[in-house]
Parts: sequence; structure tokens; C-alpha cells
Amino acid sequence: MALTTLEEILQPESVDEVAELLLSHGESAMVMAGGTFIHGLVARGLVTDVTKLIDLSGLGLNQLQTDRKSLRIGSAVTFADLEGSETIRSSAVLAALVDAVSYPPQQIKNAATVGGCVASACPYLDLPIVLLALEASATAAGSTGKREIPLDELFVSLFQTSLNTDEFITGFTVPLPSAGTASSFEKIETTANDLSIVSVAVRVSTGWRKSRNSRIFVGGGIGEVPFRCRAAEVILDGSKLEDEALRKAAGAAVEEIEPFGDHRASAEYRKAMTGVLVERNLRQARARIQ
Amino acid sequence: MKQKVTITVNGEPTEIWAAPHETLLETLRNDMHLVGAKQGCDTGGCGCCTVLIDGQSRYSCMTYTVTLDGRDVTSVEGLADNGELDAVQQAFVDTGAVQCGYCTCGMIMAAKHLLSVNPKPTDREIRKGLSGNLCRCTGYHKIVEAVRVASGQQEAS
Amino acid sequence: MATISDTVGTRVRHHDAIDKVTGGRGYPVNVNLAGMLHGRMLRSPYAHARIVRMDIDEAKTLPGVRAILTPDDVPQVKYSPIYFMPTEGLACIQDMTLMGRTVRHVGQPVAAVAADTMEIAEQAAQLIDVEYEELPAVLTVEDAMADGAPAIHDYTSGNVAVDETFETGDPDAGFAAADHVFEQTYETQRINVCALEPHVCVADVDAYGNVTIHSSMQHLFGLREKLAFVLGLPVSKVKVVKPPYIGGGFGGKLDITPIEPLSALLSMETHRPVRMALSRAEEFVTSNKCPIRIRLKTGVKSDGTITVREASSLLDAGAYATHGSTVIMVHGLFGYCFTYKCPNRRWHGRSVHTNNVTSGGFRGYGGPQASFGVEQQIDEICEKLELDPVEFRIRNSHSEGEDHPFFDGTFTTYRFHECLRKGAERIGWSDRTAPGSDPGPVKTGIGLGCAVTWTSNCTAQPDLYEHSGAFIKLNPDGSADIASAAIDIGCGQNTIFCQIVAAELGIPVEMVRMSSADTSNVPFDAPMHASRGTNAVGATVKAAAADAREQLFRVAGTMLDASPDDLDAKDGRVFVKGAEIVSVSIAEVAARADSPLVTMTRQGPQPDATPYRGTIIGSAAMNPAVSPIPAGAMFVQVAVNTDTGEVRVLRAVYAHDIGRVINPAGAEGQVEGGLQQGIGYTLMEHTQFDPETGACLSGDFLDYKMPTAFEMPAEIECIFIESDDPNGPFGAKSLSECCLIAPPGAIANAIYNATGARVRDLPITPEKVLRALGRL
Ligand SMILES: Cc1cc2nc3c(=O)[nH]c(=O)nc-3n(C[C@@H](O)[C@@H](O)[C@H](O)COP(=O)(O)OP(=O)(O)OC[C@H]3O[C@@H](n4cnc5c(N)ncnc54)[C@H](O)[C@@H]3O)c2cc1C
Ligand code: FES
Ligand code: FES
Repeated sequence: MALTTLEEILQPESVDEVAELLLSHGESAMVMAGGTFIHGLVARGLVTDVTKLIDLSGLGLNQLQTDRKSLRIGSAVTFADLEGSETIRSSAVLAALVDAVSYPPQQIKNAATVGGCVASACPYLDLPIVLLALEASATAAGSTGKREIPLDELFVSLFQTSLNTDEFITGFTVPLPSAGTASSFEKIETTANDLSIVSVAVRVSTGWRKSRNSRIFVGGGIGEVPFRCRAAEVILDGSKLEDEALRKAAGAAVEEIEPFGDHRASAEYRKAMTGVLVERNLRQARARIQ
Repeated sequence: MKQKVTITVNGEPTEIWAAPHETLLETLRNDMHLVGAKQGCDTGGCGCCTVLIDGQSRYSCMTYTVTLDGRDVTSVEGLADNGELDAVQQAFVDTGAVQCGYCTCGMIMAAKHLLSVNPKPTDREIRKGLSGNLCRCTGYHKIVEAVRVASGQQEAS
Repeated sequence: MATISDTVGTRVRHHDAIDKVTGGRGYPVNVNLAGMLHGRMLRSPYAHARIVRMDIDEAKTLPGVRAILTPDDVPQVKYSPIYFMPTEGLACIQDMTLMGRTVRHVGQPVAAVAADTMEIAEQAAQLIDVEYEELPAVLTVEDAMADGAPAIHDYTSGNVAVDETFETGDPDAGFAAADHVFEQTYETQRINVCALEPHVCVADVDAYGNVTIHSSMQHLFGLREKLAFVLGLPVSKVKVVKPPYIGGGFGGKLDITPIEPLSALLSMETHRPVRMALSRAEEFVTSNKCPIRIRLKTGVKSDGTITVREASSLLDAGAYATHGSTVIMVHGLFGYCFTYKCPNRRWHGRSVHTNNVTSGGFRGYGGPQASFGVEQQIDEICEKLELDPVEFRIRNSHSEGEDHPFFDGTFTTYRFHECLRKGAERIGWSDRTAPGSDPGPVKTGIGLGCAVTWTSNCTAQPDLYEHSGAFIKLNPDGSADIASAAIDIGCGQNTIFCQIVAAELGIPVEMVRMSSADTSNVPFDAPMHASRGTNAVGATVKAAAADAREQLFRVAGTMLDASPDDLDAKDGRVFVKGAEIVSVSIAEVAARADSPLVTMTRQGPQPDATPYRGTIIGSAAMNPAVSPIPAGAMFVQVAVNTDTGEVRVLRAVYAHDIGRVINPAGAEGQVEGGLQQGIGYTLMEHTQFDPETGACLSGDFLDYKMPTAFEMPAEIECIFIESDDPNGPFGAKSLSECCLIAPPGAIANAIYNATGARVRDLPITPEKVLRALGRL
């Protein structure tokens, strides 16, 4: 099905221009990055009255920058860019990013962007929970200027973010904690080209003798927005990340999550797999800590 | 309202007028009569429509033509040089990797991208690299073999 | 086995491979005629409803709309869409109407539009306003057969479309004689053919009302017959053009879909060619492999001799009878009853209407559904009785030379036992460990499943809709053209036919081509179905080539001054047997036949020494002598992750007796491709519908999963135990369907061997594995 209501694809060259266009066209305009998710929405009849697509590819937002404290990911950075970045590949903290973008088929990696993946606000996509686990924030630009939105304040409901209609995401800031921190992501899928049935991203840190500031997020068929396993995090924090603690954390995650059942998997299966993935990811992250 | 773009298609700069919702797949097939890229699903995932955009494999069914001004597109028709098959094409013929052939052109373009970034892929890397392309006929066995042959890691049997 | 000639038995490259790697222009999807319009359909959102009112006024006014068809505008004749069920002749259930006023499944077409572009047609279709009166829908066979269930058609009672039984010997005595009786239920799901080229056609009606149609289908003459019947035309008014090749068939293109008659009617209305294509989502609501539940009850003696086999099969036919009514028979008789020996059998099969999408044909045609149960139950029996599954199968199956248990005819060649032994040796059967004994969380195991392909071409019968015809023409450059209605659906049929003709005529395979054809200029040919291509069409093109060769030798005889009986041909030359030096090129002979008898010279007219004139042509129209029975045994090794339930097939060994192998690369391709479908069928594929509304839940490749290259085993070993069947061209039997019949049972048995968990319903998802292991 084609998006026959579409009158024009606009190709602005600056961030301000985008904000202006969004302001003037309101709900009838939609920003487009790689277009890979939009196309699926159109095919399923979920986008019907959009008349303008605003192409974000000409804004130069495809940069990756690091300083000692953080990583900046431009919203138009593609999965392939992430996967190919030496800086990210060599970082234990950021390892979950590479884990996540290794899944989709190459044609998607070459087109799909980090901004599009997050802004889709779809729990079946992979990067949102990774960026949540990494305590990232999104930079939103709008007609009144820029603001930082912590990622856990971005997802409101299915397909719904807390961005205002005139706002879009220009990039993400991922804090880089000092040594002793690592992350990991893994998902359950049916084939090598599949959206997640359940997915888990974790970040763990070994503080002075004890673990602290752990993050465990679950995606997939678990609700409208990513789920944070706070009870499991509490079990980890203060532990020494020993096997027993990882197992207990996984058990707690299973207890606290309430996934749903659909034609792809039952709720019980998703629940059980959350446990398996939490434990696997914790082991993986622990092994990655230098 | 149609918009004008200039795209280099198989080495030739081409002026194209396209409706905003027109996909690259439609432009190639309907306007340029380049039918190598096929429609197998139109929603991403089957890979029959794979082409290279600036050397990178992409699903042409989910790429809007008017966003490609100034870009470089290669379809399977752009591979053979004066009637001489490209190494990947030749390997597909030699190994028997072509059955109904409907997936073939997309598969070849996916393999082109893979070999351009990874000239000697392992079997696992080949299988992963082609996971965005479905084939219902061959079981992929001879397709994987073709990529091995094209990368000089095996002789055609 | 040595090759008989340079062509037959060698890895000849596919005839059209170069064409396909450079763009593949020959697919029906590429047909583009001047002035062509595009058609789209509007589909019902309800599983069961009556159309009360339809308003097309708004749609009609959309610029670019050229014609709109509603149920009032199309013939209301009832038909069966199956190509191999001619309307006149065989009994078939005619319960389908092109666009009736009652809809019986979600997605049934209710209106069609032709417009300048696909988008306009789609938009117009959405503007059609339909008022429906919803009727109670039944979405399971249980509900459909329950007392007081709403009737989906008026010709059935209890919605049962087919109710058949088959009995031999004395089953009750068989149970009395058994030491043990085993009874289990096995269930298979709906899956989609997923040929990558969707259904597509272009119809063009000329000023005289003649319909010319291009389509992606598996049967030229079937489409002609069905289209003429639906439109109420004599067949001579319909011409079906043969595509050079299509993008996959697998049994999914064995019936007329609404697009062919609708595009023809739209073309009549607009006087322009009209193209219609199904989207991928529409494919899923057009037809799916028949889901069957099969209850097996088997009596066995302690020594492993089967005393009785009883089965009852329940098939969900969906809204219309079509393939459901024939699959149930093939499934019961060929797929279940005939495979293993036993004097006492009883089978009861029913095909039941529901308001689900109509069930259709798919490679194996009921065989995979049967073998999933039969092959698993054998392993269950063997475990209980502590018998070896390989030996058990050998003890209870037919051997070469035996008489057919039901028909006149014998197992002319049949190396099934060798397949079992050889396959077992290659997989390492004797090292197999006890079920579930692998200690790791990821457990490996080995399993066996057999495919004795007893589909319609493999019954030891001459012709269950297998006959065909062909012409061969020799050209003055020594090349030959084949004209035949047989379609290359992707298995390399054209290549095989060229190999056979080349071998018969003694010319290089590159000198043989498949020419274009349509229903007006080639003889009848049965559908490209039931694994018949190589065997039945191969035999026919061979006979046509032999006919051409006879004439070739007659002309050559006059040129070489020899009797045609003393001649033979090789490498493009005709020579005198025993004196090869006395020879003439086939090109010269063909040129001579095409040249005038008398040439004008300065000395006046000079008659040629060769009295025969006219192009050398051969023809044949025939049925196969007997369709010989192929057999195969498949062994797989799997790894099961007992934490997640995920299953990976690590290795597959497939030993097969298909007679003589004409093209080894092509035959391997069949096995490898069959394994992709088999792994998909067994582990993940499932066309799913909402149990409340009947709406499709898996209408694209994000929701409908089939194996990618990543899910396929790196090791696939094809062993061909060649036999030389007297009834096949150069000894060839057949192959395709076997390749999908064996995997489900083999994989299920391997999962059991790895884990000790038995899953009796498909697909064996990770979730079901965990449940069977008691871990969920
Ligand atoms: C075959 C296939 C396989 C896939 N596999 C995976 C997978 O394995 N894992 C996975 O995570 N995903 C997968 N996806 C989903 C994939 O489309 C998204 O993850 C992708 O990242 C979306 O990015 P995009 O740039 O294409 O977004 P677009 O389609 O351009 O946009 C998506 C949404 O985000 C909005 N948007 C885009 N950019 C911005 C911005 N900067 N600011 C505000 N809003 C914005 C758009 O308006 C739209 O609503 C798959 C998709 C397909 C078709
Ligand atoms: S047609 Fe583009 S991925 Fe299928
Ligand atoms: S060769 Fe037919 S789909 Fe790949």
C-alpha cells in the first residue's frame, strides 16, 4: 500500500528549518530518518493522513563523538555506523549497543537510524532498552530551542513519545562511567531477521567491593513501553555479582515482569525467557568488565 | 505532485520525476524498465528488491526515490561488464545457486555488499550477511557456496 | 553409475541461469503491455456475511478509475478452481463463485477496480461502500461439526465436504492379533507456500472477445479450461501464454485465483489489458497448506510386525472445498495407507468447511501431514518395544520387485532399504545415544523420517492426470527447439528436458532450447505438479525427440547412402554404426530437409538425391507407461537448547532412490530447498488467524517466519542410490515432493532423541519444546 496522501517529501538542511516545518505543518507532517519503520507502519495502514514527510538525512546528524565523559550519537547515525565504530566496539560500557545492532539484516543496518529506532516508541525494537540501560538522554530540538530528555521520560505509550509536535531528536548522550562498567544485550527471535519476542539489556558496574547502579530493562511483548526490573537491580546492587546473585536477580525479574501473550509467544514463555536472558546478559556483562 | 531528482543509476546520471510516495523499486521497474530488482513483499524482509545505494545494500521497496538526489544506485543490471558476468553472478551460475531465480538478483546484490566490506567471509558471516534475503527454492546451500566461490575460497564443483 | 551420454547425468548448468543472474526478464511479474491498466480488489473484513448493499458511486468518480465490478457484474457460476480437476469429467466439488453475494472468510474479494495506476485502483476500492449482514462464523473444525453449527454451504451436512473411508483385510482381527496397540494424535498447521513471486496476471481481450492471458501458474491448460468455464466461453476463445519461467510454484499455483477471471472481465469492460497482482498480505488470505489432525492407531506384534493400521484424519478445508477435498484423499491413501506394509488397514478421512481461508495445495499434497504422524509413531513404537527404528522400517516396508498392494503393477525399482542403511551409516546411527542422555543444556540428537512419495505421479499407475505432449523441431544450424506446455516452475525442468532431448538426438545440450508456447500452438500437458516433470514430461519429450530422430536418420540415410537402421548420432553428427568415419553433421541434414528439392543450375533444374522434404519435426502425445515410485530416508541431527527450547538442525543426510539422476546439481537443489521448507514447516512457519474474527495475524514476513540462510544447517548431504527404472526417461523416476515429506518426522524424532520430549503438533516452537520438557 502506498502513502497516497503524501504530497511532498521536504528536505531541510538545518535543525531550525525542521522545527519550523514541524511547527507550521503540525500533525500532517512527520519526520523521516531511514524510513524503514515508517514503511511498515504505512503498509499496515497505521499512517493514513500524513501529507508531508520531512527527510532528516541532510542535517549532518550522522556523527559519533566521544569525550572522556560521554558518547554523542547523532540521531541519523545508522546501525551500520554504530557497528563499524572502533570506539564503540572496544568499549565494555557500550558493548550492548553493538550487540543490539548486530541482529537486523544488513539492508536494515544500512538504512535504519538510532533516532528512528528510539522515536518509533515500539517495545519490539532493540536500541531503546539498550540506551535506557546506559542511562542515555535524548536531545530534542524544537521551535523554542533544545532540551535534554532522559530516556526513561521519553516513552509514553505504544508509538507515543513525550516529544512535542514541533520537536524531534537530534541525538543522544550516553554517559561513560569510569572503568568497571559493562553492558550486554540479547534477544529471543525466531530467525535471524525478526523483531524481538523478548529482549533484555543490562549494565553492571563493580564499585568499591560491591556492585552498584545496575540497570536491567526488558523489551519485546512486555507492554507498551520498555520495562525496568527494579527489584532485580536492587538484588544486584550491593552484591559481588556472584553467580548466586545473578540467578536471584533473574528470578526477581521473572517475578516482577508481566508480559502478554500473542500469536508469537505466550505470556508464560516470555516470562520464562526474561529470566534466561537476564541471567545470560548479566554473565556476559560481568565477563566484559575489565 | 512529482518532484525532480538526479540519480546516478548504474553509472549513468539520470533525471527522474517521481511522485513523493514512489519507491526506488517502482522507479527502477516501472519507469526505467530495470526489472532485476523484484517485489517479493514490499515491507522489507524478503530482499528480492535489494540494490546498492552508494555501495550499501538497501531494500529499494522501502526507499523513497525523491530522497535520493545525487546518490548512486547500482542494480543487478549494472554488474556485468560488456556482457561479461561479474564474479558473483558467474559463481551463482556455476554452482547451481539459481532455481526459480526470483530471489537471485537481490541475493547477488546482498552478496556484493557483503564481499565489499568483508572479502573473505566465513560461512557464518555469509549466512548472517544474507539473512535479509529469503529464498524458497534452494535452501541457500548453493547460494552460500556461490559466495564462497566468488570470494575465491572455493572452486565451483 | 556411468553417465549414459555427455548430457544426461551431468551437472549441466541451468538453461536460464545467465538470464536470471542478469535481471530475469521472463517472469510473468514483468509482463507490461501498452495501455495496461491495474486492477485491485476490495476484500471482506468479515469471516461470514451477506452483502446487503454496495455503493460504488464515490469510487467511480475518482479520476483514473476505468471500471468497477461488483457481484452483480460477474458470472455467478459455481466452479472448483483446481487445474487438474476439469469441470467436465472427474467428480469435483463446485462450491466457489468468482465474487458471490455471501462471503465465507476474511479477505474474500467482493469488488474489483481497474484504474490507470495501482494506487488509484486501491484508493477507489477503499471508497466502495459495502453494507454487510454479519452471519455466525465457525473457525474450528470442532465448532463446524458441532450440532446446530451454522451451515457454511448448503450442499453439506454438518459442514463436512468429504467423508471417505478405506478398508483392506480385517482390521478387527489385526487388533486381536496385536501384542501392543498404540494410539496417538498428531496435528499439523496451516502454512503458506510463499513462492517469492506472488500471483500475478495480465489479461488482454481483443475486439473479437478473445482472451489472451499471462499468469504466474503451474498449468497452461488448466487455466484455459477454468477461465473459459468461469467466463462462459469456449476454450478456443482463451489463449494462455506460457511464461519462460515463474518465480516458484510449489503447488500454490495449481488453481485459478480470482485475479485471472477478474482481470479478463475488467479488460472486456475497458478494452485495455489489465494487470492484477496479489500483495504478499493477500497471498496469506488466498490459500494455505491444509491443516490436518490425524489420529493413528497401530497394532504391533512384539517382534515388530505391524498387524493393523488404523487412522482417522480431519482436515480444515476452510471456506471452499477445493484442494481440501483432494488433499484428504492423497493424504489418506498415498500418504498414510500405502507407505508401510500391512494387510489390515482402515482409514477415515473428513474434510470440513470452516470460515477460515481456503486450504490449498503445497508440495507433498497431504504427504507431509501424514508422515509427521506416521514416522513419529513408528519411533514411539520402537522405543516401547526396544526395536531399532531403521530395522523396524525395513521389516514393514515394500521391496523391489514386489507387487503393488492395491493396484496392478509392481515396484519396478525400489531401493528404500538401501536408502535407510546408507543414510544410517552416514549420520552415525549406531552411535546414537539414549533419548535425553546428552548432559549439556544444549542437547544434540539424531532422528529419522522417511518419505515414500506416493503422490499421484508415484502410484505405479499409468496416468492420474500426468499425460503430456511435445514437439521437437530441428533447425538448419543443427539446433533443436522444444515446444511444450510444461512450465519451468523453478526446479530446472527446462534444463532437464533439454538434456533429455540432447541425449536422444546426439547434439550438445547448448543446442537445445525451450521455445515459447501458448495453448493454441502446443499439445495438452498436465500441470507441473505431483513430482511429474522429469518422469512424465521427460518421457514425452524423449519420445518426441525419438520421432524427430527417426526422420533425421531417414534423410541422413539418403545422404550417406545407408539404411536409417544402421545410423546413430553423437556430438552433432549422424554416422554409420561401426564406420563412424562415414558421417554427416546434423546441421547439414536439417539444412537439406529445409532446402528445396530442386535447384536451378546453369544446366537446368537439378533434383536432389534426397527425396524427403520439409522441416524435421518430431511429436509425441502420451501418458507415462507407469509412474514409478521413488523413496527416501532422511536423517537429521539437531541441537536443542533446553533453557530456551530453541532447536537448530545441525546436519541432514538424505538418501534417496529417484531412479537415474538426470542432473545431480538440480536434484541436490530439490533436496536442499525441500529442507528449507521442511525446517520452516516443522519449527516455525504458521499462517495464523485471529480466533475471534478470523483476520490474518501473519500477513508479512515480520510475522510469518521462514528460515533464512542462518537457520539452515551447514551440512546437507545428498545421497542418490541410483536405479535404472524401465518406466522413466533414461531410468529417471521423480523427486520434488519427497524432499518435504521426510523432514517433519525426522526433525521431531531427533528432538525426542536429544531431549526425551515428544511434541505431536506442528510447528514445534521453542515454547512447545519447553512445555514437553516440563519446564514451562
Ligand atoms: C525487515 C526488518 C527488520 C528489522 N529488524 C529490526 C531489529 O532486528 N531490531 C530493531 O530494533 N529494529 C528492527 N527493525 C525496525 C527498524 O525499522 C527500526 O528499528 C529502525 O531503527 C527505524 O529507524 P529509521 O531510521 O528507519 O526510522 P524511520 O522509519 O525513518 O522512523 C521511525 C519513526 O521515528 C520517527 N523519527 C525518526 N527519526 C526521528 C527523529 N530524529 N526524531 C523524532 N522522531 C523521529 C519517525 O517519524 C517515525 O515515526 C526492522 C525493520 C524491518 C523492516
Ligand atoms: S520487496 Fe523489498 S524486501 Fe521484499
Ligand atoms: S531460487 Fe527461487 S526463491 Fe530463490
